[in-house]
Amino acid sequence: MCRIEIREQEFNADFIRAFFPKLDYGVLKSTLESLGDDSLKLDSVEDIDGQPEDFLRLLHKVLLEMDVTQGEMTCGNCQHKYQINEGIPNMLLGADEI
Amino acid sequence: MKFLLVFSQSLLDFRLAELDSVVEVLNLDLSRPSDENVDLNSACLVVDIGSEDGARALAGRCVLIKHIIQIFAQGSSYDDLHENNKKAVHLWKVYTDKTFAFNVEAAYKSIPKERRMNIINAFSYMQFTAQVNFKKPYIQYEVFEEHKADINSDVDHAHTYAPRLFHRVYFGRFIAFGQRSLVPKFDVKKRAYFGNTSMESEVTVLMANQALARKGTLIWDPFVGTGSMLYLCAYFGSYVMGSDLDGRQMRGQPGKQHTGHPGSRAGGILSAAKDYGVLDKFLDLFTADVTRIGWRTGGTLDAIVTDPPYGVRAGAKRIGLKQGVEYKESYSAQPRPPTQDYDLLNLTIDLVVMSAYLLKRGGRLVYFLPTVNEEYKETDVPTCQGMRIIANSVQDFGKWSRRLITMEKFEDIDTDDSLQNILSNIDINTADKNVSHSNFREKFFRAFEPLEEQIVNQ
Repeated sequence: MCRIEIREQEFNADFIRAFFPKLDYGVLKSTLESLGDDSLKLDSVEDIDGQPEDFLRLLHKVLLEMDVTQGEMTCGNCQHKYQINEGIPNMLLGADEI
Repeated sequence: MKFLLVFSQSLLDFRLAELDSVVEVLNLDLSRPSDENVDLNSACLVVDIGSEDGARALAGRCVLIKHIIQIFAQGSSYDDLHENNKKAVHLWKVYTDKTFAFNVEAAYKSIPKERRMNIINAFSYMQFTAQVNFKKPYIQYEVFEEHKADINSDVDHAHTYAPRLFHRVYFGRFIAFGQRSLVPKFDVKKRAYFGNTSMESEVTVLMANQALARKGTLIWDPFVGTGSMLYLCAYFGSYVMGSDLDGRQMRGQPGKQHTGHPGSRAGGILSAAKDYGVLDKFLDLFTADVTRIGWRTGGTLDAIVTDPPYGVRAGAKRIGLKQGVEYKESYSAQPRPPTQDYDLLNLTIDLVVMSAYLLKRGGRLVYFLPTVNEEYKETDVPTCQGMRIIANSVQDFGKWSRRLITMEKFEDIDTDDSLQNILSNIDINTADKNVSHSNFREKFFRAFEPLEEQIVNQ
């Protein structure tokens, strides 16, 4: 069971551009697809500064506005499931993992 | 242009730190006297600012400034003032045919009405040709008397009731009020959601200023509690995120009505953010153990702003087993993993090192550190490779103090390697384990008496 809400945030193109180099775009795209959303069409982005504002707005929406309020994230490495409850993901490890 | 900054007489030691941070965040052309030439027991500071707009912008961010006056003239006596004012005719001539009002004030003193009238009348040589208009004057003239503590008195000079002597008088025009109004606006008591350790609003404005909060920056509070630091950072335009070991505090109980009781959890952080009109800056809240934070990309945050739990009213915890407790199978079935106490000594070191990794170059760590006055040494504040202390402002509570520490990440450290590798390779400066904030809780509850003495008393 997964629930997604859109929480509007102020758009700031400079912020998205500056943040982009820290982002693994491929992972973002596949995560979004796992939520059943295929709005990110580009397979890879070489040059963020050359991208049109529409693309920045799309990234803004995915990164800042989409809020998974109910669901879980599964670690690709250890398969730990991190629950998301009322919009707050629980990133704590279990006692047996520390 | 010369301006007089009239300061509030609270949190004296935070004054210059706030001023410097706001000058940096707004990129203002301002010069002030050096630290040793500033008397914090006076409400007045004369600075040079490039433009009137600059002065207005400064007033628009500083919570410790009451108001700003453009100085026409000043003097060590009223005779001296008028002599200088007559020479400064080029500064005020353009206003003499405009509607005006006069305000006469003094720091720490009230001036009787009769004397105020005499002071105002003495300016009649300026030949005002327009009407007085108290409601909406084109120009408001300001006379401000600076009174300083009597150095021969044995009362604490910072005390409000310390005897004071006339020092200087300034004459000019009113430019703008500072941000004192943010103090009631963000007052914890009026908030939809707060807890028993929520930080008071005046201090949270200071913290947001120290963090250089502004549009397009990203700020995180790892001990977010009820979110007090984040509201102000968001108010100044930053995107904010918060995390805590316990998700219940952040969530609140959205369905419930707020009863006004401090223990009430109605609403949660997002509902308070909505009340303040800053919900569009709250990116996310998440439950996490600050010692095992999941981020794998450093150099991403502009500031980390936090008030870590001291252990007095609320203690810091981390995931792990308490000393002497063995792991049981049943733990893995618990919804909440077991926690152990997390001493302030380790917490502050972890915070600084984590900041060195997570902050961008030029980013800031702003946090409160409680210290024991008798034991405190400047070297108690931990630093590490890449991080330096740029402000250390103290609020004194008698036997103990809390210090607002502002650190800057001034050089890049390698953030490409994994966090664990980076953290184990970093140089950390913790001179000794015997810092005044270690075991702070125990010291607090024995009223900061030395251990041996207490045993004798018993």
